[in-house]
Amino acid sequence: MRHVILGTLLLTALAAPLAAQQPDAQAQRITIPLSDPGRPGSLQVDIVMGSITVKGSNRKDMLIEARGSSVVGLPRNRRAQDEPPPPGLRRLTQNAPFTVEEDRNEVSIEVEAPTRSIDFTIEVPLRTNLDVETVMGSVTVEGIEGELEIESVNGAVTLTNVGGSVVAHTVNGKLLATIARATPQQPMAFTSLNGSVDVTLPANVKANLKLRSDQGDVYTDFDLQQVRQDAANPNPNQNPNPNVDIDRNRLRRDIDRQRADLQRRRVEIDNAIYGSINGGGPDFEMRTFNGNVYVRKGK
Amino acid sequence: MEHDRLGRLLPDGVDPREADELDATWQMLGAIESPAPNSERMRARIDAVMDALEHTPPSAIATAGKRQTSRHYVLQGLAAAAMLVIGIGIGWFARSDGSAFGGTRPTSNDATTQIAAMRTEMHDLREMVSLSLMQQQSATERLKGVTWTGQLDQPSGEVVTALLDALIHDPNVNVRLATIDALERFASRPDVRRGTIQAVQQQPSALVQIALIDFMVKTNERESVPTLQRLAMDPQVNEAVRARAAWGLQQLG
Repeated sequence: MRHVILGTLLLTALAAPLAAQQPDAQAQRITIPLSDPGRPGSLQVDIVMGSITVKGSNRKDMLIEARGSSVVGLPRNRRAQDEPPPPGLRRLTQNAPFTVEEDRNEVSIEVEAPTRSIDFTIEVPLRTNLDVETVMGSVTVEGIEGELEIESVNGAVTLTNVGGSVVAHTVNGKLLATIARATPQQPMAFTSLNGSVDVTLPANVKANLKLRSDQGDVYTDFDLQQVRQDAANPNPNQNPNPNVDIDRNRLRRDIDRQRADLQRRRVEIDNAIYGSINGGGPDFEMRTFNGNVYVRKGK
Repeated sequence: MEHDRLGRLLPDGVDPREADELDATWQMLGAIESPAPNSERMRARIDAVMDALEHTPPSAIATAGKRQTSRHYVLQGLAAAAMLVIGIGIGWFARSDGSAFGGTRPTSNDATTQIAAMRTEMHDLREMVSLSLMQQQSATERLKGVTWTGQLDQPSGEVVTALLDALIHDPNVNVRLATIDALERFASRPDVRRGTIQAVQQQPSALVQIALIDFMVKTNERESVPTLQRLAMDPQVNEAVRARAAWGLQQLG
């Protein structure tokens, strides 16, 4: 029974290209129900050109809105789109078909002509797992709880008021995330190559943080209990938490150990900062090569 | 009379002496007194049985016979379960050290060996969970599997192979990045050294490539020098990676 419905949905979706002929009526909307609305669904979007916005809302299906994108990546396309239309002419948007498929609560969106740029705005139930990826464009996620897997190559990743667990990466963009609720015992990762990583975590979250910026700095207002101070960061006397008395014997041992490390290895590379907050928990990695790392305590 | 009857019944040719002895035996048997019934003892036994019957619910009397049969089945079941447990135990040990019943295998039931066996089971279980997590569709679960391997005291080669596989093939950058940390403690293994050198060339993510170059320097992997040289010279490679490779060559040189 469910498969029949799926087949129909698939056909409907296949037959619904982004046929926007009017500049002011560019959006194409598709509503797709979930096979089992009582269970959290998942959304998978994997596109090359265009931005993706996913918002949680009080609904049991998913509403997909697609429109011709202003995001352009290839130099040739940028030239074409940036040019003002010749006098007296208006630009027509060409078809850029995409497919939406639902199978056992898993909704996936694919663009058939990857060189066409489409922006997606998708409304999903509040509890939804995401696997969202774009190359040329940004990803924005708002008010969703679930396993969130987000990736962009040349765009920013912005997560606002999300819950669950996050695994996010952008190559050439800023990564900004505000986590309202973290699923206990689930690891998270926020990484970038050429952008800053700015993560706000719930004030009471239990985690082991691994923080690193190769060419920038790391900032936090959490009481970070550093578990290892590497020789590359020669500041072993600094007590990470000023409220805790310094254990002199332990410090002496640490210094001895570091001296031994220095003698053993000619060079110490790993300048990552390891530390626990609120007693420790799953690993959260925040890392960028070219930018700063900020870990903020949420309100 | 007895004798006459015996005489008639006896076939011809029977030794009359033998017949006489037999006759005498019969006579003696007849002379044995049967013991007089000890009425007091009998009474006590009957009373005890009656007592027991009076204090037993009628259903129990009815099912007493059946219960004995079912108890028999329970015993059979327990025996089967015990055999199963023993079988599983043997399986665990056989698995935990590939060799046949060797000297290191626990041979007695004392507490130490039992604890050791439980540790082995826990270790195997953790390893199994880590391995199965690494196969999950969700990147969070795979990340969890990778970080869980850090809690294994002496992971098997299977775990190391799975980590290397994730480093090269996992679609998620963050999972690949996490495997580099997890592989660090196996850096002396030849397959890890080969795998990481192979990964640094194939790696599509610059961030992971940089982390791998750091890994080479940290573990003083001189065999990576030709690969790092190629990376440093390749104009197609990300600028930051090229710079890192050049730096790495300097450190290793």
